[in-house]
Amino acid sequence: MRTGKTLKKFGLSDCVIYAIILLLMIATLYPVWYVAMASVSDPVKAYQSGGVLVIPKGIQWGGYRHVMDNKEIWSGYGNTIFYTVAATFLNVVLTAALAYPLSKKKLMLRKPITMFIMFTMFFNGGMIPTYLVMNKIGILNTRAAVILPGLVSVFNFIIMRTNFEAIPESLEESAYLDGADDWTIFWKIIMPLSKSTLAMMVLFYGVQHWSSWFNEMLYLRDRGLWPLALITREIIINSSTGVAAESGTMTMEMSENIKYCTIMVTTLPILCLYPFLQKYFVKGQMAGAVKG
Amino acid sequence: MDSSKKTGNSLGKTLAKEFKRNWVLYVMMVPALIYFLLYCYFPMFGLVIAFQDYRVGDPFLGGKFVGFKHFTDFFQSYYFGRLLKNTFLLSMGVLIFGYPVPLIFALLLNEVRHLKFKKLAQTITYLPHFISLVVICGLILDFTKMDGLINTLIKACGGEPIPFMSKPEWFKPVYIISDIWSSFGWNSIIFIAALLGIDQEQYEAASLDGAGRLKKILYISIPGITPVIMTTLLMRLGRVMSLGFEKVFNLYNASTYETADIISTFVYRQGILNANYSSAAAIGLFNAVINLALVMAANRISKKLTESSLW
Repeated sequence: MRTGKTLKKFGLSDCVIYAIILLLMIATLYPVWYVAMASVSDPVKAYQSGGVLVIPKGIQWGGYRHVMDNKEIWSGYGNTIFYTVAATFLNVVLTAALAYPLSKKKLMLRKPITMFIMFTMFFNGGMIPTYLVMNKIGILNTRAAVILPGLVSVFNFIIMRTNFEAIPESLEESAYLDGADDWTIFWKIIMPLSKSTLAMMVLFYGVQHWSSWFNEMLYLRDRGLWPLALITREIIINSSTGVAAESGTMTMEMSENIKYCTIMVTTLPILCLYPFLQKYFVKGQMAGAVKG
Repeated sequence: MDSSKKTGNSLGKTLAKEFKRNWVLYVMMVPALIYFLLYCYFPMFGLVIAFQDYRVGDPFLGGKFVGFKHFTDFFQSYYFGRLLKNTFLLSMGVLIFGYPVPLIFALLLNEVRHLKFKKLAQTITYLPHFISLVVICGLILDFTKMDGLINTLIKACGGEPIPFMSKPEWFKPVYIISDIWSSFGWNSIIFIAALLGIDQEQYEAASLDGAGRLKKILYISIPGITPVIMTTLLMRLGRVMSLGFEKVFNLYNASTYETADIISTFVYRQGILNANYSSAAAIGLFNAVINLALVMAANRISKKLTESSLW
């Protein structure tokens, strides 16, 4: 990394440093690799070989077939996609529509409204009162109960507002002189200029919704409304493989195999996408760290 | 009296003018503000039930007032000490053992001269951050079970297998170690960025003076990122009692409550499972007040030390 004029040769200390980093990389990757290999291995053979896997043992796809046959996985996938798309859309629109006015110094009530929003970062009613309010407004066990919580994240609001503040005011002023109102300026000038931040917002909110399960567990009784993460949780944490109960012929090895396959089915989309998207998340992490 | 009425009037007039001029901007904010009111502020008012005997079927906020009964009951109960201790120790364990790892990792990466290798190492170690918590907990449970990967290795080394997740004494180590695994890469981001911000000429000057690698790390790299270390540490300390619910909830079971049960999981069982809404809300409020005080204290210290507040 260093831009020294003399290119030093690869010394002993370099060897140690590279070795430690390599070890950490393997330690991070191996559990995921293990699950991938175990999911396509013959469960009985894999079990007998002592559980350590570098390459698959006796390839089979039975576990995946079970997972594919599990209707709840598919309804979960459908629900997750619906929640993610619908909630993310609302999240981004609402966050932008809140952040833009609050980025303008001319707004008189800017300070009190910003305080009103920021305060929720430090104090909230907590699990029980929130649950009772959700119950009171009658959205328990409906899709709205998944979409309403976290509709606007204060963290993302701050990132969005910082983005708007960075847009030069001269742009808006010339539009005012041309007779444009605030809405036109926001929609026609500001939003197109903020495309990259908006894309970041889509990613941040999207990933959050993709793996969300706690509110869903709290607010949804009807399994047909459950997202994939909650179905996955049933299978891999509570060990109810679904098929086992009906057939009664499920061996322990097979149900283990189904767990691995479920993990792969739910995680694969993210695993394939994250290397290309990580830089946006890193950016967000930095923005949050600088001014959280 | 007269003058206050006047200023009230003129304030009203200014506001009316302001709304008239910027009504578009105010209307834009309405949906988001309704959300904050509904989902964040209503529950805050709902905390009134912590001072009531609220039962299912009571009109909302219409329970019988009992003052601080639920708080004193909790402070005197067997659970109070246990929950406080578990929450604090688990959180502190993650901080003490987990904090240095990303820092050291970043310092090591900073010494790497092959950019491709550095990028690859970062991408791979970021991976757990993108895996959902449910799956991470599934992996932990699978690896620590009696015939899981870790016990296989223990047996291969001639040891006795350990039923990790049903032994109270193992809950905290498993929680902390897995937390380091899943977060060290991601948490290193801020240190890596801070290290890149150090003036490279300092290193070159030190090289000319004959300073070795270790000296450069100790006297240039670490002092260069000390402000970042201070602020991140303070931020973490401020959140020490607001340990996340989700991971403990997925990993613990009745046989490990003794060391695993934290305030938020107890609130869940009390409130949602046992429907003791008032007592659960009181415990939640107690925790929220502690968290608020800690964050405020952390921010004040940060202001004094670095002349920049945490938010």
